[in-house]
Order: sequence, then structure tokens, then C-alpha cells
Amino acid sequence: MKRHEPTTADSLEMVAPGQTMESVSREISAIPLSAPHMRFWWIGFSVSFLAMMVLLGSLAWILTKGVGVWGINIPIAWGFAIINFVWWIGIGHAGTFISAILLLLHQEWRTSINRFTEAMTLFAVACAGIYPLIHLGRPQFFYWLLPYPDTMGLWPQFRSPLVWDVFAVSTYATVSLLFWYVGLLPDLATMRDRAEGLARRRIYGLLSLGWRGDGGHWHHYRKLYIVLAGLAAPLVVSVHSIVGMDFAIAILPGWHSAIFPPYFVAGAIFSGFSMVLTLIIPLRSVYRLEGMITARHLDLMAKVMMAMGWIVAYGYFSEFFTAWRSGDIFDRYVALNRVVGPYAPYFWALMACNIAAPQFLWSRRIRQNLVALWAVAFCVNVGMWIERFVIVITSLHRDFMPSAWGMYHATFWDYSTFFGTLGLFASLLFLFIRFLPMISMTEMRALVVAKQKERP
Amino acid sequence: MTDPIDFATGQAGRMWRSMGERELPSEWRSIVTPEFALGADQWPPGMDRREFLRLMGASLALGGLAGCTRPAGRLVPYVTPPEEALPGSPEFYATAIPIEGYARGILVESHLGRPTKIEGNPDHPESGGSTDALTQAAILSLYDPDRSKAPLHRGAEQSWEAFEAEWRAFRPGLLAKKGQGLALLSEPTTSPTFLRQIGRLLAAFPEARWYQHTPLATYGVGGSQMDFDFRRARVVLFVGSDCLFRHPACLRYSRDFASRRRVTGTAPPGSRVYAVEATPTLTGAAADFRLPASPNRIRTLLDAVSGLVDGNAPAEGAALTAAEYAFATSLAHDLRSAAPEVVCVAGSEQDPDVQAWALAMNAKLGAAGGTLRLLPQVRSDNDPRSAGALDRLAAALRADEVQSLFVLGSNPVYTSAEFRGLAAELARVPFTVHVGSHVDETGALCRWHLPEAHFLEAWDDRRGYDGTTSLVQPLIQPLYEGRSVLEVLHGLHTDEHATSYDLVRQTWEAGGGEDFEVRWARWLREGKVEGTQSAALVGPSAALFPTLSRPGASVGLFLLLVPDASVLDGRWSNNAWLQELPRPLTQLVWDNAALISPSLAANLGAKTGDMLRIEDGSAAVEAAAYVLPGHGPGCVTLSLGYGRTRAGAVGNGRGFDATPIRRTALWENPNISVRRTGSTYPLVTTQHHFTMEGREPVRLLPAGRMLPDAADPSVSLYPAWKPGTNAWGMSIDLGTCIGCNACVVACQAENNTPVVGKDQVSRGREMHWIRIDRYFDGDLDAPRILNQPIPCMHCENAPCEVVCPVGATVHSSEGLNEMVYNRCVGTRYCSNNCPYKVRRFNFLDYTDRRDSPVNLQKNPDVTVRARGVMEKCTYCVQRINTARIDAAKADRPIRDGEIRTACEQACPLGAIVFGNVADPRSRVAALKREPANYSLLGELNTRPRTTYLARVTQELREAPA
Amino acid sequence: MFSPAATTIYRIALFGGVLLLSLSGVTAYAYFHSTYWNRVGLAQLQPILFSHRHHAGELHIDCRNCHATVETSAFAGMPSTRTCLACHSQLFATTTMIHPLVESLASNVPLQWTRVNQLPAHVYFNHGVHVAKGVACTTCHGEVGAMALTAKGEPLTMRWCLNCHKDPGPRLSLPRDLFSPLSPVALPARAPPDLMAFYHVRTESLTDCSTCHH
Repeated sequence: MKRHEPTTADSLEMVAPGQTMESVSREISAIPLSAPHMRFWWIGFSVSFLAMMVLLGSLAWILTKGVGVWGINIPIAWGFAIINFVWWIGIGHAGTFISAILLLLHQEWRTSINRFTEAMTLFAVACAGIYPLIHLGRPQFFYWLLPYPDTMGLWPQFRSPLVWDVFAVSTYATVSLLFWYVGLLPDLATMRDRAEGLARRRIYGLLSLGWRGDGGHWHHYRKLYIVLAGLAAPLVVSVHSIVGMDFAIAILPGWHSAIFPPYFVAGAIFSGFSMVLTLIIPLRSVYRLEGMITARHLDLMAKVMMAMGWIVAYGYFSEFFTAWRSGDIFDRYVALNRVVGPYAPYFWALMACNIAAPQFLWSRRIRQNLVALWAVAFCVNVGMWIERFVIVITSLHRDFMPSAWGMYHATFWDYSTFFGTLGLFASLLFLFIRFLPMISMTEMRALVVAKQKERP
Repeated sequence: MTDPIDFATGQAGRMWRSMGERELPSEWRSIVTPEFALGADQWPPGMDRREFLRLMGASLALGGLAGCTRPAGRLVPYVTPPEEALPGSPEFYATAIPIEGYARGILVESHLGRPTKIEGNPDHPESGGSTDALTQAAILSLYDPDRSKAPLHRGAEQSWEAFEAEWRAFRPGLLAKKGQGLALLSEPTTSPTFLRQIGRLLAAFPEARWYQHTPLATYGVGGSQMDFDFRRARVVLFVGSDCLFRHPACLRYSRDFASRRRVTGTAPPGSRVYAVEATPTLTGAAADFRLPASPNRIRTLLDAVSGLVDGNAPAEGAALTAAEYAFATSLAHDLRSAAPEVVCVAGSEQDPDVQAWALAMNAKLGAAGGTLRLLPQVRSDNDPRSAGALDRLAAALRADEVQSLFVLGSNPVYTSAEFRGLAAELARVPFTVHVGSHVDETGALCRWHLPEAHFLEAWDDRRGYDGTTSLVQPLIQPLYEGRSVLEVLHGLHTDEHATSYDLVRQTWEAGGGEDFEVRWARWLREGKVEGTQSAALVGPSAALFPTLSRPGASVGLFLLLVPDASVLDGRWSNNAWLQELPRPLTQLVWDNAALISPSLAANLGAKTGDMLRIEDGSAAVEAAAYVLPGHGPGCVTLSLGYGRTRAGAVGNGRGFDATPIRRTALWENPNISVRRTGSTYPLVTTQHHFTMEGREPVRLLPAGRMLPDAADPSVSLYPAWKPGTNAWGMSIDLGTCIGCNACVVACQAENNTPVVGKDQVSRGREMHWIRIDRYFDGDLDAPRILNQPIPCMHCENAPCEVVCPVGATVHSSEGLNEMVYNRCVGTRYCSNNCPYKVRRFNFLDYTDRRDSPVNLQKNPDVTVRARGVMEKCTYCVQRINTARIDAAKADRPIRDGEIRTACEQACPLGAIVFGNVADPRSRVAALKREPANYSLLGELNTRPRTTYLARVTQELREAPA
Repeated sequence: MFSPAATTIYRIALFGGVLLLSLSGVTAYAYFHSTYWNRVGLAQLQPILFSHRHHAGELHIDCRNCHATVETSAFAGMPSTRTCLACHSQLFATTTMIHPLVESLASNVPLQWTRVNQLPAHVYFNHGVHVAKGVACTTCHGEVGAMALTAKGEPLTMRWCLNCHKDPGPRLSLPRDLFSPLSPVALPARAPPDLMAFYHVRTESLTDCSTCHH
């Protein structure tokens, strides 16, 4: 095929010229069907699979010995588990944001990336979902957080944000799954038609729920898709607001802050976009998708990322401002302790990753330089993890009673569980790439048609 | 308490049989006797612990774990029910605990024949109803898995009969030589029966030698002991004394001391207390004015004081620093103006001349006969029949004069550097016997080791510091084959069989009288023998002050040795509660350390955890440094009792052995050199931050002032919490609390709090429900040392409650912040949201092995918490419920003081008061009306039910112009 | 590739799955709230075929004769071997049915009865106060006087306990009925408040968690 290289920014386009309805379907479906670049896939998958095995091992150990194998203690009763939970949930957000909100806003540049980011959302939520369960002292009783008519005559304690979490996250997971799957239906049908071998066709056929693509199907499909988008859009805001409230509801200095919900949402989308970029940039090069995920897409995502970065920066600032303005001795101490306390290196690393690094994106040259852009995105990923570390640990380790102050030392099992979920995430992603179209053929075809109309 | 007559009716033998009836049920044997492998099928699989404990005494064992399979439980009634025991309600028996030989009256709680908790005996002058940490922890030693279980002959298990046979074969030879070559080594004792036995033994073997050895203080000077009356002391001086915390009479002293320290309204405390000391002590920390100084400076200062009291200016050459001068002048002024209502106490570990100085000062100020009484020494340290101390025995051993040696409950091979070199000599003695609770360092070197019965397993009699005698009655048949030392002594010179009960009875029957049985029963009920208090000797006449300062004294460093706050000289080494009990002032656990002042640390370039090498000319020890603010300059403090090799699984190999550098029975080692070795050691403390960061958790209130009003409690969007009939609350007086840790261990014993070990504590996972926070306020070289007990505050607006997703921590109608273990899923959110960080979490499975005898101590009224469950102070809700049920059955309200939490009951100073705040006439309500009352972190509007009384401070007197 | 029926089959499968899921919830609820799961009315095998119907129902032996500590202690108490033999050293002393008793006395090995009513380990129940406040034996143990073989009379679930702790009145009995082996006759409507007053039942702390769990 003909490689399209943008010369100037004006010529940045959504689709490379010369893409036809036939060509996009062929190129996209080719990836799962005729499986190119298998060496890359096998290496990638086996590495992530091993990491996933580490996760299983860690889970087994944690369930046998108890959460005490982690570094948590009194006063720091929450550690990596919660940090990772918030981090993963945050990453998920970009997917829903891109596919739902941008859809409703008729942002056509979402077209070629929404499928992939939705998948990413699902897998991130899957990783996040593990943590609230295993961080329980008695995970065997997790279902006590669900309202059901038990023989004890008891109900969950609905004032606790942890109960809100249960609903928020489970709803989010369900809707994201539906949204993603419904979007897949026509493509699954395409795959069924293009696949060789009865078995494959059967499987794709079953998954496509008997899609024949007649008018009625398309009619229902479009309606349902928009409805789901409408459902998913508010979740983008609600889920991470509630995660933010897990902290804001508490009375701890450094947690008890009204800014948390919005600032968590922004942070979530921030980390989400950075993760998309971190993954998309190598993938589009490997699978030669520059024609569909063009420099224009990267450019736009970089801009969104930078904008979100500024909102997050404002969040940091307001925390310090309120701490100073309130005159509250505890808030002030926590603020100061973050900057110069024992965990100061984390704080400054966070500043470098989340505030300094994105500033490079002011320059168009950097936005279009794949390596530089990838580096910035990666920095933000790291930065957002550190942000959660700073919020959770530094607030807990020196709160009200100086006599009860302590330090947090992560153990091997803290790291292995985190590393393990990275493995789980990557494994799922590789399977997705291998067996499902990572770009929506349906929508690409529509886009191509639209573009061709535009062109003289 | 059960009715004594019912307990002790009829003949003497009857009593013993009634003890026999509390014979161990077979289930117990299975876990305490070694021939059953631990964890053998003696136990129904999946047996439930708490149910087991409640019913075991009644031989009602229940299987059945609430699980899917739900195996059928069993109900096992008696074949023949005993008279006393009522299933489900405990009895209390009065007895006494020997600590360093002195008796302390106690009441022991027994659940169907299973002793579970020790409380103070209100009728006993040396207890007054309170206890100290050691007494509280003693119950655990009864169930120590490492106790020796059978006689050992050269390490091989043997029967008592075998020992007796061998001894009887050996004895004629001795008799022929009038017992020449027979040596006994025991600790100085107060037991009349023991001394009677010694008498009879020496009568049978006139040439036998009885040596006495204690590595701890001898609480007396020249055959008499000083006894103080703090109730009348308006000015008190402590010279390196910790007599409120570690002294045979510390409970009485604490109680009397507190009676003058308690403030009402804005009045100043009833006493002005000065302390000068090198090693910081709790007693010193309780003083209004505390001056840290090196031993030499202390001597100089005391000389200056004696001069000032005589009306002279400080002696020439005795250049006092400004601080010392201000201290001395104010002290002298106060002493003279308050005389004769003054008390000067020199620490039991101080040199004789310092003690003499204190005696002289008391005499000079006319305290003798008033606040100071001289009592005849209660303990047998100076008994004329005794052949002297350890050095004499050592000499005899070297000269091969000893044919047979009996070591009775003493461990010289560990406690004496000299004795450690005598292994060869000991081996040459043909017949060596060690009687002790453990096969310790000494037991290991003896031909025979005989298991000693715990004081709750055998009869004995002991005298308190004031002479009051108590009968020590057992609550349980020996768990193992232990016998009392009395029985062993008896067996040495006669073949007629006699139990410890017979022997004690014989001692007292001598006093005879036809109504003996009645009196005997009363003695048992009251826990003391009336009319046995020693009469005061004639007070010392005014004496001249000895000159203390040593002009030519060494300028080198001092090594100060002190008994460890928890394990003393190592006799409590295998007690896990005491090992994990944060040491006063340092908060160290599981180790001892070389305490040094910040200034010395700076000189040495050492910080906490650095290993130090401490040398005098001939010996050296290594120990980790601990930098302790307020420690005297120019000296190092190292506590005894560590570096044990044969203490047991708990005590072995912990900390640093101080014995090698200790000169026999001396506490001070001048002229040592200290240097860093370069290596470090992981010391573990439960508190890492000792400054208050301007948050004033402990409020200081200058005498005569009021506290600035706390935050107005009415600022809340929500209606205030309305109390019902009962609203439980607590008041803790920081003015009287000295931070002695009694409450901490009492709570642990009452509430089945687990021990987690050094590693877990180092990860910040200690489980104590009540902790004692310590802060150093002001200049780190001479700070004010503050103690603050922190239980759960039971906030009315409890932050922990709103965040629990399953409602496992909720508010009760009586204002308790309840923790429901069996509902908890372990999110730990409540702990994060607790501003006081009083919540504790079972990060791992901290429960004891099911087959461990330690489980027999567990309180059946408190759930043993599982892994992954949060727990915290409950205000001893099990006691509240018992009282509520009793009141409900009798249709009466709960009386004030009817419910006493474990911490309140233990507190020797009465600093903790619990009660119904809704009842304006209750003690706690009155205390909360005091102007010094304040809420911890009240500005958070948590409205804590536990409030504090600020510590009232006083000023030094200006030097008279 | 697919037969025309495929779609139909698929639809049925889908909706069936959803239906099954919701049904399983209902079934689980029914099962765990059933007397079967709670073992109500299930008699256990006992070392001696002891009949409460005979002793309590027909001979009118007072409950407290054998369960002696029911008023004084948390634990109602089980009759010791000697208690049984007080009568049975004479009556049926030689029958095989009584033999385990004779055995037990001779060998000094207690009888092992199988528990019929068993609360979880974390529940602290006190018989004494319940009796003192007017809860009759039969209210929780069922019509023991009518049981030939002793069986659980009530579910004894926490929900069941709470029903009474929230509103004790209707479950209280007249003093004369407290220890009657058979359920007392129904009381007039105005009885509950009167009984509450009579027994001085204070309800504030009845639903506190720490009343039963500590």
C-alpha cells in the first residue's frame, strides 16, 4: 500500500487519501484474519502472559497469608492496592470519553481510535476491579457490600463512599462492555464473511448475533449506539467523582477537599489519553495504520492531554492554596510535608511528570515527533501513578497525632501485584489485537465516504 | 468472691480436697502434658476457640465451625457437678503475688477453675485494688509453653521418685558430716514458711550453708528499710529514684502520691516535686521540676543543697550551673519552708552514701516518724542464718567445699559475671540441683533440674513491704509436675510427705488458738493476715550530711545499670506481653538498648540504632544506642535482663547482655569508654515522633489558670447526640498519670489482645488497644517528659462510623463506638479516618496456635479476633453488659463505679475514671466539669467521650535575695 | 453456515440465560430462608432416646429441674449424670435405654449429647436475662413439651432474633407461662404493653450490636 506522510500540519488529515471503503475493511480485517507481524505478537504476548502468571501467584499468596504481606500498617492502612485501583480506573476513562462524549459532540477524529480505547477501558477496569476485592481483610465476605435480603437482617452502610464505589464501578464496567460489544456487531459480521475456515466463521458468526446488515438492523443499531453513548457519557464524570469522594469524604488533611471529584475526573482523562498514546504510537507503526490513525489524531490527542494537564495542575495549586488559606494547622502541615517531607522526591517527580513534561507539547514539532510524544505520554502515565501515591501515602503517614505517625515501605508483594496487573492488561490487549478488529471498520467506511464527498 | 466459709468449711484436709476438685479436666491435660504431641487428635477438628473456652471448665466441649458442613456440636454435662462453679460466671479468689520476694495482694479471676485475669486486692495495703504491669502479666507465665514440665537428670526426663531416691542415697553421707558441704542458694525471701523450713533444715544439717543472691536492689540500709508517706508530703525530692514505678511498695506510693497531685478547680497541686537523676525515670517525669545530671554532678548538687538547708551558701568549688543553682535554691527553700512535711527519696540503686544523705536530710527536716518511717527489713537479706551472698558461695565452690548445691529459683549463671566463670567448679560438685520454672542458664549446668510450681499452683505465704503477710493460695492444680520450693526444702531433711498446704498451715497453726479455722478462713477471704504489719523502729536522730562530691572523681563516662522495666533481671524474659510492652520513655519493644543523651550522641557521632562498644578496663559489652532526650549527660544507661540464652522461645537471644560488665551487685560503673563499632542494629519502637508539633495533645496548665475554651460543641449542622439513661464516658488525669503501662497490660489480659512479635511491630502493627504516648517538650537535654494514655475516644461524631461500608462499626444507644468483629470485612477505611489512630488491624493471623496452653488464659467473654478484622478499645463492653444484665435482672439502675474498665481497675494512681456522664452525680461527670478538662483534637468536633484533665505545672521559687 | 433455526435457538439461549440468572437469585433467597437450611424441626441422634414430651409434657417435670442455671447464668445448664440418676437409679434402672447413664457414672465419662440449638461462636446469649424479662422457654425452643425427640423449634437466625429485639412486647409471656412446656394460649391485644411495663423491659439497647457481639 502507499504510505502517506504529512508534509505540513495543514495537510494533516483524518484518513489518508486513496483509502476506499474496500481498502479500510481489507486492511483492518487483515490484522486478525491473516495475522501479520506474528513475531512481534508472540514476543509481546508471552512476556505479558508471564507477568499475568506473577499476578496469579501474588493473589494466591495474598489470599493464603492475608493483606499483611503488603507494606500497609497503622497509620497507613491503604497502600498500593488503592493507588493501583485509582490509577487503572483513571486510565479507563479516556476510552469512554473518546467513544461516548466525542461521539455525542460529533468529533469525527474519534472514529479510528474509539474501538481500541474502549477495549483499553474494559481491560483497565478489569485490572482495577481486582484491587478492591483483594485489599479486603476478609475478601470472602465482599458480597456484604451488596444490598441483598440476608438472613441477618442487615444492609450495607450507604453513607460510605466504598458502597457508592461498588455501584459506580460495576455500572461503568457493564455499560462499557455493552457499548463496546454493540459497536463491534457489524464488524464481527464483516469478519464472519471474510474469515476462512468454518470454525472461525462459526465463532465470529455466533458473536455477531446473526447480523445480516439489513436496514432494520442498521436502524436499531444506530439508535441503540446513541442511547448507550448517552448512558456512558455521564459515567465518565460520575465514576471518578465517586472514586475522588473515597478520599474527599474522609476527614484527613490532604484528602478532605471539595476539589477532589472534578480534579480526579480531569486526572483520569489525562492519564487515559496518555495511556492511549503510549499504546497507539507503537501499534500503528507495527501494523502500518498511519493511513487511518494519522498524525492528525496524535496531534489532537496531544492537545487534549495538555489541556487536561492544566486542569490537573490547577487541582494541585488549589490544594496548596486552600491549605494555606484555611490556616488549618493540619492541612498546612500535610502540604508542607509533601514538598519537603520524607516523600518529597515523589512529589517533585510528580511535578516533573505531570506539569513540566506536558509543556513540551506546546511545540508542534514535538507533537509530531513520535518518539518525543511517546516519551511525554509515558511520563504522564508514571506521573499519574505517583500522584495517587502522594495523595494516599503522604496524607496518611502524618495526620493528626504526631505519636501515631509512621512510614510506608512497599514489599515485594506490593510490586508483584502491580506488575501482575500490568501483565493482565497487556495480555488482554494482545488477544484483542489478535482476534478482533482494533479499528471500527463500519465507522471508517462511513468516514471514507464522507471524505470522498468532501473532496472535489 | 465466693463465700469463704463455703469455700473453707470443715477440716484442713477438706480445703485441699476442694482444691483437688478443681483438678484439670482431661481436655486440658491433652494440651499441657508433653506426651500428647501438640495438635494431636485430642482436639475436635475445627473446634471453635471462644465457645471452647467458655465451656471447657465445665467440660462442655463444642465442635462446629459455622461453615457449609456444619458438624454437629456436642453438649457434655458433668458426671458429678462441683459445688462452687456456676457455668458462665467467674469466681474471684484472694491470694498474693511475690515480686522480688515481696507480696502484693491480688484477686484472681477464675472461669470454672481456669485462672484468666489478675486484679488488685482492695483490702491489701500494698495493692489497694490496683496492680502494676508485672502483676498483670504474671497470669501469662502460668501458661508459658516453655515452662519445664518434669524433673530432668542431666537433661533426660526423670520422675520425682528417681530424684528422691538418689537424694536419700546421698543424704546419709551428709548427715554424718552434719551437712558439711551442703549449700543452698536462694533469693532473699519474705516467706515465714520458707524461713521456718530453712531453720529446720539448718537444725538437721548444722554445717550446711544457706546463701542468698539477688541481682536486684536490696531495699534497705543496715537491717532497716525506709518507708514513706506521700499523703502528707508537701515537698518531695527524688534522687535517681523510680519508687513510684519499680519498688515493692510502688502501688501504695503511687496511690498516696496521686492523692496530693489531684487538682480541683484552679488550685495548685498539693505537693511540689523535685527530681534529679541521670537515667530518666517515670517518677522523675512525674515531678514538677526535673534536673538531668551525671552521677558526679548529682553529688555536687546534693552537697550544695545540704549546705543551703543548713543555711550556708553553696560550698566553694562546687560551681553550679545556672540551672543547677536555680534548682538547688528553690528546692532548699521549699524543703525548709515545708519541713517536716517533706520526703527525700534516694533510689534503691543509689550508692549507700547517697541513701545515707537522703536519710540524713529527712531526719534533719524532722520527717522521721512522720512522712518517713523506718521499718525492720521484711526480706531476709540480712538474716543471721544466711551464710552471705554469691561471692561467698563462689569462694566455697573454688575451694571445693561444696558437695551438694541446691539452687532454689535463682539464676546466678546468667545474673552474675563471676559465676559464669565457674562452670568447671560447678561440674566438680557431685550433687547439683536447680529448682526453677524454666531450665535456665543455671539449670542447664546442674545435675538435676526440678520444675517449680507457679505461684498460682501451690501454697505459700509472703509479706508485703509494710510487713503485711498474705497467704498465697493456689487456684489450680499444677499444670505440669511442678512442686513448690517449700516441698523441695521439706524433702531435703525428712522423708515424711507434706504438701505445701500442710507446710504453710503448720507455720500458722503454731500461732494456734481454738478459733484458728475461722481466722484462717478470714485470712484467705481477705487475702491478708491481720496484725502482721511491721511496727516502725525509732526514727533516725538528726545526722550530719555525708559529703558526697568526689573532687578527684573520674571525668570519664559512667555506665549506669538498671533493671529492665519489663523483664527486670531477666526473670520475666519469657513473658511475651512484657517483651512487647513499649518500655517507658523509650517505647522500645523486644530489646534493651544503651540509652545516651543527645549531647553524648553528638560527641560520639552516634544515632539511635548504631552499635556501641562499652568497655571498662577488664570487660566489654556491645549494645545498640538509643538517644533519649532528658538523659543525664556523660553517662550511658544499659538495662539488665537481656541477652538470655536459655529463657525460652520468647526471651532467647533478645537485646544485649549487660552482665559481663557488671561488678557484683553494683549499679554504677565509672570510667568506661564508649565508641561506635560502625555496625547498626534494628531497634523497634512503637512511637517514632516525640514532639507535639504545636498540636498540644497534652495540655499544660500553669497553676491557677484556666484552659482557653475548647471549640464550641454546638457548631454542627446535625442535632447533638441525646444521651439516654446511660452514657458511658471516661476521664484521664494527665496530672496524676505517670505512664506505668499497667493499663496497657491489663487491657491486653482482659481483651485477648494478641502479641505480634518484633517484626510486625517494626511494620507498625502492634495491637495494644490502649497506648501510652510520650512527648518531650522543650530543650531536648532537659525536656519536660509527658505521658498520655490513648484508648478509643468513643466519639459522639465518630469519623470511623460513616465510612464503614458494612456498618461493622456503629454507635450504641449508650454512646459506645461499637466494633462488630464478625461483620467487619477489613477495608481499614475506619482506621484511616480515625484522627487518634486507636484502631488496630489483624493484618495476618495473630491468634495463638490452637494447641497452645496460652489459649487457657483467654477471656471467654471476649471474641478472639480473626485475620483481616479491625479491632479497638470497647470500654470493656463485656463488663458493661454483665453489669447491665445484673441490673436488669434485679430491676435497678447501674451504680456509679459498678462498671470498671480493665485499665481503670489496674491504674495505681486512679488517673482513669469511667462512668455514666448522663448522671450528674457520677465521678466521671464531676471530673468533666473541672476547668482542666479538655477533649483531644476537640477542634475536629468529634465530641470524644474520653476526655483529659490537663497537667498542671508549677514554677521554681526565685532564689531568696 | 447456520441453519435458519439458528437465530431462534440463539434468542432462546440468550433470554433463557437471563431468566435463569434471575431465577437462581430467587431460589437462593428461598433456600437460605427456609426451615430446611435452618434445620427447624430436625431431630438429632442422641446417646439416649430422651423424650421431652414424656418428661416435660406428660410428667410435668419443670424445665429448671434439669436446666438448673437457666435463671442465674448465661448458660441454661445440662443435667449431670447424677441428676438423671436421681430418678433413674430406681426407675427403668436396668433397661438398656438407661444403660449409657449407668456406664457414664461407672466410668466417670460424661454423656455426649448432640446440640440441637446452636448459636454462632460470636453470639453472646444470656438465658438468665431473657427469662427474667418474660421470654418463655417455648418462645425460642418451640413446643418442647410436645417433642418426642428434641428438635430445633425456631430458625434462630439473626433476623429472627432482631424481630423480637425490635418489638419484644408480643413475644412476652405471663409469669405463670414462662416455664410451661407447651406454647401458652394467645394473649389479648392489650397484653404486650402491659407485659413490657410489668417486666420493665428497656428497649433502647436491645438492638445495639454490642448487646450480643463483643
